[in-house]
Amino acid sequence: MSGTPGARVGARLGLALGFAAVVGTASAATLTVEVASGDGTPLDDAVVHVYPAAGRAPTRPAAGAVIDQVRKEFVPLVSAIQVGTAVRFPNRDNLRHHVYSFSPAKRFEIRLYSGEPSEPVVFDRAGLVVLGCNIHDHMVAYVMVLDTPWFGVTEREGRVRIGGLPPGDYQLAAWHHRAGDESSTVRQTVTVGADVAAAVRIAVKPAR
Amino acid sequence: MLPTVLVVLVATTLAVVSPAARAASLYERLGGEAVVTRVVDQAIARVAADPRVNQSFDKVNLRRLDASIVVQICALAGGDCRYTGDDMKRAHAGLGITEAEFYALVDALRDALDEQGVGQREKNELLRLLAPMKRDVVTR
Repeated sequence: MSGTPGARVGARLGLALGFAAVVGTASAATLTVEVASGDGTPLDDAVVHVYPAAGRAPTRPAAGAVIDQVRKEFVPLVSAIQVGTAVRFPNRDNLRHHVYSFSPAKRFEIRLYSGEPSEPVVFDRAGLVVLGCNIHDHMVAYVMVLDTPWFGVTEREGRVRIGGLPPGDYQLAAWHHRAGDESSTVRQTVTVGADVAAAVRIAVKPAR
Repeated sequence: MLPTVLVVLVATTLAVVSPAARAASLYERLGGEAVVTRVVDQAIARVAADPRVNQSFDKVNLRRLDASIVVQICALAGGDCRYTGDDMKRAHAGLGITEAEFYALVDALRDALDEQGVGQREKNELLRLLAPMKRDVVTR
């Protein structure tokens, strides 16, 4: 059990540090979003992303991301990355995996042998990418590829903080894998002045 | 006139001889895809359900495994297939498979071949083709 939460925190910490490096503008505000299901249960692993209501989001250099395979599971289950991000797939299991995606935003397959490093995969188009393993068919992971630098994945209590937002009007989008494909994304507008909070409800199917 | 007749004769002879001269491949004699698929499905289902040997099959996509083994047998036994999966060494690396586990699958295969009505000669030919895999599969 020790590897799983550690890797997950590590991936998210990487995102948080990435933001810390590019924020720093005095006027930038933080948006705190709480995501819950239709009946109000907080939802972790929801992808929240924010776009300016007018114009385009600035592009920022994308840091690399990592999706591990640990005990025949992908860790983390849900990742959010910027377009152009290179993702590494270290295989921590003592057996091989065969990762694939049939998603239009990124089709690929990569054979991952235990103890053999593999080339990173660059996700060069925005959209949802669903990963599977050919050998272990219960394995699944979701990669939301985004053309905005403002995003995050909710943690326990369904909360995520998105920093570095200049004041203005934004469209806030939230997606959860138990709601369906990318078209189930919930959108609402939010005005950012000083630090601000928003709440989003997503209708999800019951957890299996 | 004579050369034309000769050519016709030769062509006729070739047309008659070639199908008869070509021996049926082992894959065909096993019963082709239909029989081999049933044999593999049955053998893998048996070892995957056997608690003494099934830890290597934990969470494994058995449908894909079965299909991959059928293609491999087809390619080995002279059928018209090309196997593009991992070699046996890489496919089994890290699984720590014992000799007992290897022979459990051999037994399951032998029983499945019998139950699917494959002849003794074909059964032994196939098992002889598969036997050298042991050194790549067994790592403990």
